Amino acid sequence: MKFKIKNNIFTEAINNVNRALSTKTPMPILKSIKMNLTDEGMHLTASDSNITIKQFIPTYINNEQNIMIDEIGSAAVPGKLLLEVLRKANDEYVEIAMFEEKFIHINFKNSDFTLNCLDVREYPNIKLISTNQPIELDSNQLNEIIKQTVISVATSETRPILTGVNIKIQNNVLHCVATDSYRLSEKNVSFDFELPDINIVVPGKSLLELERLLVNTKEKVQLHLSNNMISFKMDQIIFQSRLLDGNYPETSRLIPKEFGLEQQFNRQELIDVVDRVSLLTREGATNIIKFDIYEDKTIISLDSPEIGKVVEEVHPLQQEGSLIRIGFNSKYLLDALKVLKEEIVTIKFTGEVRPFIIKTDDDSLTQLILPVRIE
Amino acid sequence: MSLNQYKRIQPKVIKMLMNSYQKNRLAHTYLFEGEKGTKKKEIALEFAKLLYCENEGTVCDSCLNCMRISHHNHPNVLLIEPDNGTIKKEQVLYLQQEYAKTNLEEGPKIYIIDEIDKMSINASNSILKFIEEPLENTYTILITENIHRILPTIISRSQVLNFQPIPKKEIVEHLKKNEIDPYIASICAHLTNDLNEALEIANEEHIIDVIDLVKTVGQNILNKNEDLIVLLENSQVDIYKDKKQLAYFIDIMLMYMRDIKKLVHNNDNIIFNHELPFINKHLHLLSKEKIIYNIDRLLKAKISLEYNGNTVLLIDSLLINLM
Repeated sequence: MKFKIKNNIFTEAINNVNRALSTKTPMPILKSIKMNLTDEGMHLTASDSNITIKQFIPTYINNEQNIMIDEIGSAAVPGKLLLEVLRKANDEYVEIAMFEEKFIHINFKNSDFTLNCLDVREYPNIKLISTNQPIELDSNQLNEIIKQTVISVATSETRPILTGVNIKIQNNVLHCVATDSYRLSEKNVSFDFELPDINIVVPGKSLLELERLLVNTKEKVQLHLSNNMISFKMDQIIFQSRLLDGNYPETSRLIPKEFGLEQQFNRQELIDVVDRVSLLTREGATNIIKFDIYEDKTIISLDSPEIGKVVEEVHPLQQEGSLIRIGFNSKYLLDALKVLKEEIVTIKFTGEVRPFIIKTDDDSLTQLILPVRIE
Repeated sequence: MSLNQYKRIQPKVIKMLMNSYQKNRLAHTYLFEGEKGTKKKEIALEFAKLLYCENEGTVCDSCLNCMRISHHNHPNVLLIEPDNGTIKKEQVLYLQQEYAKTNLEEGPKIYIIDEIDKMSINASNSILKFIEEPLENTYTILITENIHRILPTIISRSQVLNFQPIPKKEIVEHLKKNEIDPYIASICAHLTNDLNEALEIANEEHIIDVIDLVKTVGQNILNKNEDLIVLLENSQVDIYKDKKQLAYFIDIMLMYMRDIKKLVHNNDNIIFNHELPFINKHLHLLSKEKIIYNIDRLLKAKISLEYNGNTVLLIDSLLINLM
């Protein structure tokens, strides 16, 4: 392998795939980025075994030559080091050459780096999945789906399946559900074309990583789903993740259909109130706030015996139904409110010890929270 | 080393594994149990290669899959080893996450956990959770030198394979092949059960000095010629300062005393062959009780050293008692 490449393009690409590299991996080869140079261009792959990012740099972009190829080939190059070297390279082009199958030369201006490489044949054989009927979404829309559901994934490993987001396609509707068994987020997106049914669970961590990658793109994203991988294809980047093995619990019956009390709030104002009230909570403890709902006002309070007490009165925009007193974890409410975009939110209660949901005009999204028993 | 070489060291284990493999009756969890140096981890990796080798039914050790397993680069073969003496919580967490996920590449998943006794009770309980509900096409190999420290609930859920200690002769042969003097080889073979460690010890700078010191101390115990503490001061090796050398000294001294005891009982399985004439000549000077007392003292010193006792006191009290 021997070639010359525009440094800014190369560095950016390496930087993109670099997100998938992990410093802590029991597999030494996964500290490397795999380069595969063909006549069409350079394919870069990095993986921590959970997620894999592939990027392609075409030889020509708009008739402009980015890569001058001397000899095609492939190599496994230490990722972190390569990125450091390229970032500090003070030249428009860098020249890269492999020799003796175990060293790589990086040349620019007056510098000459030689890095030790691993045997590229030992790199995991990560098959890119590709389906005939991918789902196409705007990167914004995908980002929103992830943001609004991933808040509810479980962080503890006691039930590994709950650390992921359940993605299910049924009757051409995409259902995304996450729950840690104390709260639940559900987002449904309908499509007007035929989609094959599937039911998979994608690790929450992978989705968070994807979200970071999506921030920089404005393109359409293609979703390819299979029973052991999910892959997100962008223009030049492919993001692929392993799935969680096992059956996701049935959640459709958990969301109540009838409500005894509905309240409407201005979203931002409610966030501010809950945020203020939550001041009196200790880091790491569960923070139970109470809603005392009266005809003319709602008292939001928090009583933390070691720290103190706070009471704040709010007036919902609209209210309908029987009065209740309910307590729940303030963090869950804050998380749920923060990922919504609409100005007005409706909280729908069913009872003092029954789950309640948060809805907006956007009917596709439901946030559900379980209350705790208060004396 | 190839599968055939392991077959010579652990014939029963290899036969057992090969039979189950050929009859397609592999257990989902194995517990490899045996002394240090019995090649448990190596054979566990060999087992993984057996399932993955491109030449079906053997281990070629040269195909891509075998190479990747040797270099810990195979995505479906995960080896967990203690990090600084213990298996850390994060490692167990990582393992749990791996268990929960789908495969990166096709094929069976193999999890190898070395020194599973170096894991907290909590961690072993979470391991228990997934060996209780084994997934299809997933094999777990647990390895330990200390089966008594393993939760009975883990043992009952795994197939236990006992690894035989490596015959001393095998170690001596291995050392001789590496140009170690046969006399030193036989001593080093008794210090450890691990081929590589034995070779390392034999190649150590001071090991000959330690052996010489044992000889002089031994001779003086027999003929009560000189004060032992004075002897130490003239020695080439400073066992006061170097704990490792002290540990060797105690172990080799034990061998020497055991040899004396064997001679009293006319047993001819002697390690210190060169010393035979001298020992025989002076044997009548030492009572049986004194020999047993000395062995007992040495054993106590060995334990005290493990508990990080004060080395100066330990050596002085040991030598005074040995006289």
